[in-house]
Amino acid sequence: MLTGQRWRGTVPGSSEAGVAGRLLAGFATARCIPSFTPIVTVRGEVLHCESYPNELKAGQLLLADAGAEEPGGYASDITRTYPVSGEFTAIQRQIYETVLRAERVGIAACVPGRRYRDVHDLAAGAICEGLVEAEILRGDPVELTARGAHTLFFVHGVGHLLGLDVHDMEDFGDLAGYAPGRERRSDFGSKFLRLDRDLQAGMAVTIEPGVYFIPQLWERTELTAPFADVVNRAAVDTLLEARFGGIRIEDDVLVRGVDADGPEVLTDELPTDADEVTAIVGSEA
Amino acid sequence: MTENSGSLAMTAPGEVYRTRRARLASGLSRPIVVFAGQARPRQYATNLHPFRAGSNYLYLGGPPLAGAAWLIEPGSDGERGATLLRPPPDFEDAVWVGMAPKDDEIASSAGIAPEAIFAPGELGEMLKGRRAAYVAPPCLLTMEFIGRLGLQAAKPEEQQLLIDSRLFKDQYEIAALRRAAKAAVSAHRAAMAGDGSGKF
Repeated sequence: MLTGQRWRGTVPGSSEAGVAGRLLAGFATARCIPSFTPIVTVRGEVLHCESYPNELKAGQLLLADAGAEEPGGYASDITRTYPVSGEFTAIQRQIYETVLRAERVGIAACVPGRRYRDVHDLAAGAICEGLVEAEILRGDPVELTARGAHTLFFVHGVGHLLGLDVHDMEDFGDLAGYAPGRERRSDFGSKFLRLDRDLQAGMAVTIEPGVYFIPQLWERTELTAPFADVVNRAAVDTLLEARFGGIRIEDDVLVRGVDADGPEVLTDELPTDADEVTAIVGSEA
Repeated sequence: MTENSGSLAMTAPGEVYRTRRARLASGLSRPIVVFAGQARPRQYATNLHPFRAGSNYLYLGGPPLAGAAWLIEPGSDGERGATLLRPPPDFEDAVWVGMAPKDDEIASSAGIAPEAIFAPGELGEMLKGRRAAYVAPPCLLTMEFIGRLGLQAAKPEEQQLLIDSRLFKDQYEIAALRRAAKAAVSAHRAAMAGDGSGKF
């Protein structure tokens, strides 16, 4: 390949394992270890996919969720999703922009006094808006969010505490993640929210919304039937058949005091903007 | 204050760890033992995953030593009433895995006197006749040791003391989080870019 020429298209031998290897090499070079087993997969809808069996093919999205643990034990946690071929398809880009909008809304909401569940709900609202624009959901985004229609696509919580553990203090269970008097909800989607405290200066959290097209979920009528009136099932089925996978975007956020200009995004040197991301993919490092 | 960046990879100066231990001790009504844990075996006992000390133990200023623990007494000021239990260095360990850090280095980094370092085998005598709580990572060898001593799992109100402290990151923790973030940014960027030949 010529110097400076943008790469378009896959090359035989490119693989999930190769990308995982580069991540691990990057951590080791920085005198770090992985803060958890890296997720590198074209099956992004499998939330914690921990094997790397697949070759990369044009048109696929690759989801890489990996963080470093520095020598003292403190963790980071980043997810980026990008097109293998260096260019998003139209629908990939539309869903990517939806997730990115949700992430930015969530990050901006990380201010003192804000309840983390509200951060989650704001991100969920942005996802419903985007899915209505993409004609995957029908109706008023506010009402769709209140009904929980996003949980068919955004199936997990918007993030977690970060510190000496990548899911900080998860060994204490919800005693750490949930403020006194608050309990984890039991409904699908909402029950995976790991944190429900009022944010305060000095807290470190991740913000990591996602949109996934999970074949097994759409076979569960007890989950999908309540939303049959607002889901464009034909559009969903098209994306399932195309094995869309999933998109997640994640950054690490430090909540600062009320006098600060919003939160500090600890990982903001890695772009999330779609054009900036694709400019890096396959470029000369 | 300077960063505590010796071979033990501590993230904060000793006085910061003293303050954290004192904060915990101020809410205690009984002693608590906070364990580092042990390296976990893979398929047989001597083929081990890399050791990673328990986070509560690290937070209180524990050096990364398998089998170590903090004993914190109620009302401790973070130095007096804070005992570090560390397995005595063994000559054969030096042959196989290198020299263990000396007590003086550990004491200086952790913010205690060298005289406050004892072997874990002395813990039973230290706690004799007293009820004590424990916090430990999920490690079989550590849990067996805890069982022999008859320690009781920390109650929610004791766990809450650690949670309330760890929720809010101080300047040293924030600096460490920034280091971890920088490393991940660099690794992700390299992984996304590939090798410049069209592969990634």
